[in-house]
Amino acid sequence: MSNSKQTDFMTAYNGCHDRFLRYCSSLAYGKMDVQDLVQDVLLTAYHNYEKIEKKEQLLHYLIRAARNRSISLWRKQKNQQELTEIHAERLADQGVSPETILDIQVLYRMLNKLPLKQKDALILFEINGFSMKEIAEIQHSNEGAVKTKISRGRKKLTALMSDKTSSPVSDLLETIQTITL
Amino acid sequence: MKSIDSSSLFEKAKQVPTELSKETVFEFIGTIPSLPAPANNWFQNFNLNSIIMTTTAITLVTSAVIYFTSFTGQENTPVLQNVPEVILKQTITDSIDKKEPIIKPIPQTVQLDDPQGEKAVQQQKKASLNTTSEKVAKVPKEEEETTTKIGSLIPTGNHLDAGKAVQFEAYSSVSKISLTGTQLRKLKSDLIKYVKADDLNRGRSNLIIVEFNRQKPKINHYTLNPSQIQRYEGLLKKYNIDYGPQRRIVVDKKYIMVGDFTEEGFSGSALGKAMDIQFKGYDKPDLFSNDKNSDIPSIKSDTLRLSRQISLSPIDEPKRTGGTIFQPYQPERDSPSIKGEYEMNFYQARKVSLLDKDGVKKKNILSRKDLKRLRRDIYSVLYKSNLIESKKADIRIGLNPNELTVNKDGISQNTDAKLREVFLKYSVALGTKMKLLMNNDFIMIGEFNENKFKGSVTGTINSKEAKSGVFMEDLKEISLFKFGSKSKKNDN
Repeated sequence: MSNSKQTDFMTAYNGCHDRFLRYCSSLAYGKMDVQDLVQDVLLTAYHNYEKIEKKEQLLHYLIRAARNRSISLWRKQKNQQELTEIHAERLADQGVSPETILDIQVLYRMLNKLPLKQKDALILFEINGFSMKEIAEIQHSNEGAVKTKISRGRKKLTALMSDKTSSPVSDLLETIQTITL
Repeated sequence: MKSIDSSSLFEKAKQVPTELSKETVFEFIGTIPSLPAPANNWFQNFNLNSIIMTTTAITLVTSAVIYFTSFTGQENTPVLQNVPEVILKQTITDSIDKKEPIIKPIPQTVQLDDPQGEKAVQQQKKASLNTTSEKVAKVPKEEEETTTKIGSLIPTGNHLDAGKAVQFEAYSSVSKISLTGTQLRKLKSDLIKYVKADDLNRGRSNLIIVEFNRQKPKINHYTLNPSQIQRYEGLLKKYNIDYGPQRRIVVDKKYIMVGDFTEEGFSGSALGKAMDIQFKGYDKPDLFSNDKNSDIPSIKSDTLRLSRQISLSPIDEPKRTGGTIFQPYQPERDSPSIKGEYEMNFYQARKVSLLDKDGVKKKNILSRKDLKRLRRDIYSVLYKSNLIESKKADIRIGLNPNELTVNKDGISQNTDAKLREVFLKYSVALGTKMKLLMNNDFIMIGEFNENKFKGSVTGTINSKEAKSGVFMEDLKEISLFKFGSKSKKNDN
């Protein structure tokens, strides 16, 4: 029984992995170890798998669970520098170039400065490739609101990234410092 | 530094491999069955957000419950029953429409000392019309709020006085009411507070009528509910006021009367304006009572309304209603002269308002400094004109624009011109009734008209000197100086 459940779960999870992990990465960056977050969410999801009515929407369930978990259990288990180092190491192990790691970390750092809902919408739309309709379902919102959040998030992100502010520079320097490749 | 393009960064983030590989995650999923189910840590659901929202919701619900349950007391609110008419035979000066009283003006004493006293006068006799002056002690300031200056201030035992209660003895068997002035004032204050708190006021009127009978105690014709009865019972018990079939308390702005209002008259304690209060038709059975009386024919509501009347009127002439009970009477009398020498000090303001409340410029209103300078300049002119030998002499100048007079004598053209120059300098207004009185101690300039003075005065007036000097004729007409003339209400 448990084998079949496990198999079913793995089968269902197979299609969710990439988007789920990318979402957890951007959510957890600088705040917690993404592995802790993922394991917490998967453990809960596995044990509640029977209760999930629409199995095809496991991804939505995982994303909502990840967001809720990250809010309620957010704690700096390790300091930020350590977390960013771990993140960089893991990506480096995957064969990602340092420049790309740098860019991604800058992006995550900028995203962390956005309001939560805008950040969430932007990650789901830009990184995870969800449609506005899907994002509205995940966030229990409507498409118009999602559109507004994405639009505002983009504008704010652009402003943060512009050369008028010094924070991107200091962030870059900080990011470079953490990469000990 | 060039701005970083976020879209390219998003592309990179989209394409970069995940932090954890699929195999790593599957390995973990494989171990899940061996792992204990996540504990239902209900406390993990508590975060600041949930605590705040829960607390807010609980607070709102509790407040709503408390707020709405406080209205359940409304079922016990007093019911207005059978409100009789209140007839004001003669308008009381404190009524809302502020009509002039029809009664003759009541003589008013003007006392230099504080006229209010604490001691009540116990009386068992007929009204005495002889006036006696009495020295009274000061009333503590906190009690001044409950009393107002009353028209009749004859300090005799049998008159309603601002400071003294008057007792009216009864021969009935009900318990005697005997309250001092202090007690009456306090009772008035307490009653006003209680009635206001219970919302038993009769609109804007200050009148409070308490019917303190055992069958149906009422306040302002509202029947009291049991809790209110208990409250008012407690209040009146403090003053040893028991129930009585015709026991009533009538309170208005200028008086309080506590006692029995019978056909024979009032018996009890009273303070303030002398009033004649009669409750007509109150002793008939209540036609709206639960005890149905088949003998009483059904009467239209209009007639019912007329069957009960309260009449309130200030006392105008003596009333003897049988036995030894009567209402007090205040004749017009001479203001008591103050024996002995005295001094009156006036301090004109340093800065004066030149316009009255209607924006009209006041005449001969000078500051203290200007008055003193005016006096100095006038003395200078008169001294140089050889009209006075000393700059301390008593001077009376008639400010008739046609002819200035000094001590009732005409003056030369030269002196006239110089004086007019001085008056012009200080903006002194001339007039047929304008006069200037001065000596070394005071200066007074203004209009002397109809026993009133309007103008400016500063300095000290000695009564002995004023009575004997050139000022006597002008000052005696002004009651303020109490030189023995009849004093009238609202003088100055």
